[in-house]
Amino acid sequence: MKKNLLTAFFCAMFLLFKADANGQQTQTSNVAVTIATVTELTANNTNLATFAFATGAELEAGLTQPNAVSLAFKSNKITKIQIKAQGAGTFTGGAGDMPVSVISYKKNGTGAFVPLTSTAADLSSSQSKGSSSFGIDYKITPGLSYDPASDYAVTIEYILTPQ
Amino acid sequence: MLTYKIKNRKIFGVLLFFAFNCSLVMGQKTSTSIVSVKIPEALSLSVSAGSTVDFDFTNDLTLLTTGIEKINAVTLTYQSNKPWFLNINATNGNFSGGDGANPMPSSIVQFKNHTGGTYVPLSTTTVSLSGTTGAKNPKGASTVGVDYKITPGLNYPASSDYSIGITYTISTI
Repeated sequence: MKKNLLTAFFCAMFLLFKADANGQQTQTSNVAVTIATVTELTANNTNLATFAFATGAELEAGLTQPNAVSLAFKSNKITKIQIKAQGAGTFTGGAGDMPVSVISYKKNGTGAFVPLTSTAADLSSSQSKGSSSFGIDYKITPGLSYDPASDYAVTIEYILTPQ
Repeated sequence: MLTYKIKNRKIFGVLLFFAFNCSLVMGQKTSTSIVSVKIPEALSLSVSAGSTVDFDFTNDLTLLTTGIEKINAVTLTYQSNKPWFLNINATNGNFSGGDGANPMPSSIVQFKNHTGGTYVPLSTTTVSLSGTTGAKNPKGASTVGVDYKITPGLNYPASSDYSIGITYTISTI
């Protein structure tokens, strides 16, 4: 009888300890991450070297500044980068009649020069995520139609928009 | 009252959410650079054809009295980014060569702009070839043709070394 009781006691203890060993409990916690759209755009050259024409031949043939501006951009979305002239479409200075279209631009190393307007136009219609930069070439060809003046100026705006 | 507050909070929350999402969608960035340009006065004139024009009367003496005409004997190429006009004059009142005691005057040379007008005797006084100070030509670049007619007559001795310089002057003032 005693033997049976002892056996039953040990069995009960075994089960009890086994239950404790298996009594694993789990807890969870949620990690919430919010990733905002990150966009950065920086023009390294906010004041380009003056396009100083010296002769009539230069006015007619135009002056070019390769890589006049380097645009550095960063984004975690696909973006497009556009370019436009600020204002009403003419330079300030001179007689106020020189149109911004005397400026033409292109991404360095690609394509043909395109006349600038005050409407945003694609410099890069689909730019991959990440960070990089590219140069912009400028060419200005005023011709002989605009008055001599040393104060012609126009501000060019670069726009980065997530797609 | 409580319901009203809760409603306001909800509206505020929705607006906040909307504004946040808008900023995420827009996320537009801009950067600028300034382009400046200096344009000087560009004014140039050159004789692009006819730097020396030869009028030879030796083969037909009647031409001495009727004259030899050369159309577009001289072509002037100009460039100007201001309104301009063009004058002409003889460098000297007489030809060099021939008999110095009986010099041949510049007035035996007549000129006109090829685009029109009548022949005008050449002198050392500058006269208009195209436009005037009060009626200038538009800015631009092109050419002007000059027609010449020389009628020496029979007053001057035979010589093969008559020569005269002609000056063309472009101006914007």
